[in-house]
Amino acid sequence: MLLWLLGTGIAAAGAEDSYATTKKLPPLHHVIGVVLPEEMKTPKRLPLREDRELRCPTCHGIEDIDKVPYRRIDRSLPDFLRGGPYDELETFCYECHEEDKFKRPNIHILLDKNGKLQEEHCTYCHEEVHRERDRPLRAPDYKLRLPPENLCYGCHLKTPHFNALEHQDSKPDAQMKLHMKDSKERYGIILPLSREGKVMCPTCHAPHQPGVIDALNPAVGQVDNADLETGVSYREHPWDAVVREDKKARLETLSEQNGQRFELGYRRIDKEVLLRLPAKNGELCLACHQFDE
Amino acid sequence: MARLILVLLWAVVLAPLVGAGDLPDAVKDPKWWEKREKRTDIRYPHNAHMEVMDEEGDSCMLCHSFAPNAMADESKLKPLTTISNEPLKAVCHDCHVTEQRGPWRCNLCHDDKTKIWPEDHRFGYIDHHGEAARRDEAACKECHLDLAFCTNCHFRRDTMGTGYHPLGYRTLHGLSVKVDTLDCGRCHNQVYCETCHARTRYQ
Repeated sequence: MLLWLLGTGIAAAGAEDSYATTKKLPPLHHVIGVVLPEEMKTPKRLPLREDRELRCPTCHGIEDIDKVPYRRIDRSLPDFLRGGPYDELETFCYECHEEDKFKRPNIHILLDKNGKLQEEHCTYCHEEVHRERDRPLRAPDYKLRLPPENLCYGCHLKTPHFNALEHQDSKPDAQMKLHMKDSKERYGIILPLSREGKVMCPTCHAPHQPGVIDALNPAVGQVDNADLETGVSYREHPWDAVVREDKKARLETLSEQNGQRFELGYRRIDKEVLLRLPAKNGELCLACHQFDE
Repeated sequence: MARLILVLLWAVVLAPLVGAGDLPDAVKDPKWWEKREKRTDIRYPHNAHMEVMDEEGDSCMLCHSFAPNAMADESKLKPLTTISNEPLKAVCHDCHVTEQRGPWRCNLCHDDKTKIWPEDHRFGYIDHHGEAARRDEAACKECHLDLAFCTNCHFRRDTMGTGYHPLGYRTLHGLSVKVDTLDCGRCHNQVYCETCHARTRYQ
């Protein structure tokens, strides 16, 4: 029995997958073995084969990475992607690909310069364009392409800002729902919940550019200094240094555990966009949260 | 006999079924904010801070970060978020301790002083605090912001109260002096003794 277990263990260890043994790439991996066209310019630090073929070492700086079993590859190493670490993976992609060609449109900008509806942007989320803008739609007639709790993830990650995940998991209790009802009436807005009664992105974020929906419609609920071209902007604040110092020791411990550098600071929101109420003065938070003292 | 059988039947079969509905739900891992609710060492009255936060131009997001995040790996993001949500001692103390723009009594927020006091305060510290104060007075003042904390004892002259010494100690203090004069010297200098002894001598 012991010999059988030992044999199985050795066999399992030998079966660790690497690209060299399996010739299979991990899911969602960039293709390799392709010859790049002459017009595609690549930086010198991303070496191609003589015939301009893309190989593992083109992107990865880890020696003989194709022979290392996938589960043993340390993705946190700075040279996992040459020139890393990268805050955003796209930064690395644009080393070779032209950023402008791959830039996604900001589909929340629903009106052109003349105030006319950019209908191709409506259909990213809705199956049909609602052209009678004076006639408010009822929720069942929105004809969304996905349930509202999943719709945003078509373009956005689940983790765009801190505490986003924590909110998406939460289900307001009866007391909070009562408070939300009060807030809706007080501000004349909606704070929609998912079909399961959970908080979702549209609970706090209003997806439509101001001016698309009639201003009196509760679905509009927008902060008034919205600039969708520039998005959210921040102002530096002296407490940034205080926060950094406060978090330093704990972040260093976390960095040691994860082999990745973390930073936390503080900037004040200057301009905010696509929110049902202003968050920078806490109004949005207090629409759901309340405190005894 | 029939009654006995019925009672036994109730005890063995039916009673456990009746109680089944009262069983507690499966224990869930509490969320970080639920755990924080249970914390007793720091009290933060949210409503009391609303006005001042508004005046300062800050909001909930000073402590509860909603800053943009590039970390998509949830296993790394969660501990990072926990750290981002931890109470900011430095920010609290900036107003309440350093500048004293807010109420600055420690027990206003820290309702259990044993959770915040230094390790050396845990055992017999009161007997040795004089040495520590002479060595690093600034360290004492980090927490004991009000000088009255010292003077309430050191300048105490209400001999009716028990103070540091037990009631009636004045009568017996000569014995203590003979046993361990140095111990008296921790708090009292020679002038303190002579103020009384010289007077009685003259009389």
